[in-house]
Amino acid sequence: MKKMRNKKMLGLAAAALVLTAGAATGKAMAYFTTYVTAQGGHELELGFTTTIPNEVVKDWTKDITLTNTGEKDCYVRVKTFAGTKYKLDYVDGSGGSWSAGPEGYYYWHGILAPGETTGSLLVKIDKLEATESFNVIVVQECTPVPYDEEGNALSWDQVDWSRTADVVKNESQETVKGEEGKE
Amino acid sequence: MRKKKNAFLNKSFLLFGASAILLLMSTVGSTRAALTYYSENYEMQIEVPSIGVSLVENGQVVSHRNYVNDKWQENTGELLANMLGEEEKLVLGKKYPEALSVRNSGTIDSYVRVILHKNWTKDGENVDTELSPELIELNLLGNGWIEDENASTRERTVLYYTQVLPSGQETAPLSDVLRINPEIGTKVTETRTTTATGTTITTTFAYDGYRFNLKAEVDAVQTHNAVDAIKSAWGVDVAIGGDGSLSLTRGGVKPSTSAPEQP
Repeated sequence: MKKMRNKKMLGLAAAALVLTAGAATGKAMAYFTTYVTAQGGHELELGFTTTIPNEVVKDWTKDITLTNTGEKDCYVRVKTFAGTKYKLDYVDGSGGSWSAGPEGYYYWHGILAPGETTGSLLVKIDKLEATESFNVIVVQECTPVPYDEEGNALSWDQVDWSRTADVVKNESQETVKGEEGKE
Repeated sequence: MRKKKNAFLNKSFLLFGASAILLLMSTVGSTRAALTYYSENYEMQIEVPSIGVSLVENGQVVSHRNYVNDKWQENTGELLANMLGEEEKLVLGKKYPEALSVRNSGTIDSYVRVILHKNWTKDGENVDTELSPELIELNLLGNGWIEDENASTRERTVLYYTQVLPSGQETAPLSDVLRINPEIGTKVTETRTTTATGTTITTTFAYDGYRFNLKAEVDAVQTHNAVDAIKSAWGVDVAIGGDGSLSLTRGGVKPSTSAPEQP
């Protein structure tokens, strides 16, 4: 009977010790830690680039200017086509801002900002002996201003005009009401 | 017989007494903490060990979280807030300064790691999974930082600073510049709309209006018992060298540099 009591008391004492050890375990597992975060970003405003030619014909001279109607700065170039029976002479009407360059184009030296228009490129038409009517066709191109890694704009003669876009094509059909079934 | 019974009771009381003393001792720590809290003089004379960490961007602290006077002092700032000036538009391909580093703003030495997240969002908060996060180019330098390739993905880069970061000190920068790959500007969408009156072709940049995002998470942990502390806090196995240098004990680790590997 005594032995039983002894065992009981020893058991209780041991349980108390275990509880004491357990209470200390939580502290041993706590470590000093901390954390911090920050985030941010910016939206891409790529816009679009487009230009329109302005042509005024007077005294067998075509006065050509180009206007940037897009949202981004761009470089422009222009060239003209006519039949072989006709001779075309180019005159820089802007005081040195147009230059003849590769691929038969004339290049505007400056960056054309949205809303701006180039100076004149005068194309003098010599019809020689021709008597019939004819057309002088103007082709103009624009490209967004490229930048180097420091963010500086490349000059007009550093532009790679052979760059091509990766085009994703979408097709959509819009049917006008009331015209269905018409030939 | 009675004597024997008394002896037995004495023994039991002794054991209970010992248990009670042990229990009391286990609460002494909390009592001490309470004392330091209420005693101003005592606070002035001792330096309570505390942990703290700050994220530094281009030399300026962006966010910090420090344990001071028994409470957390913290501030969460914005990354890339000074990347562009007023009215300045982002230029594709341009390298913008983005030097990220970590400062130990606590009073104990610590080990630190940084987790970088990059992604694109469109229309508010919808993360775009088609556009590669790799087009957001943050140039990593190494500088004592190693990348855990097993934990990194295209969107997430996990970097560990391999040295102990002493109190008050700052790591070497883990990056120097950020740029958006200009290839993103060569992708356009051409939409042909055919109506009764004709066909209209509209060309737009495919990724106009997209937003790039960069997030940095910094974790710090004590250097005492570092292997267990890091396992407990970060869930990774590390080894600590005799000089305190940290290394990951599983594969897939490389110096965190964006430079191409030498053949």
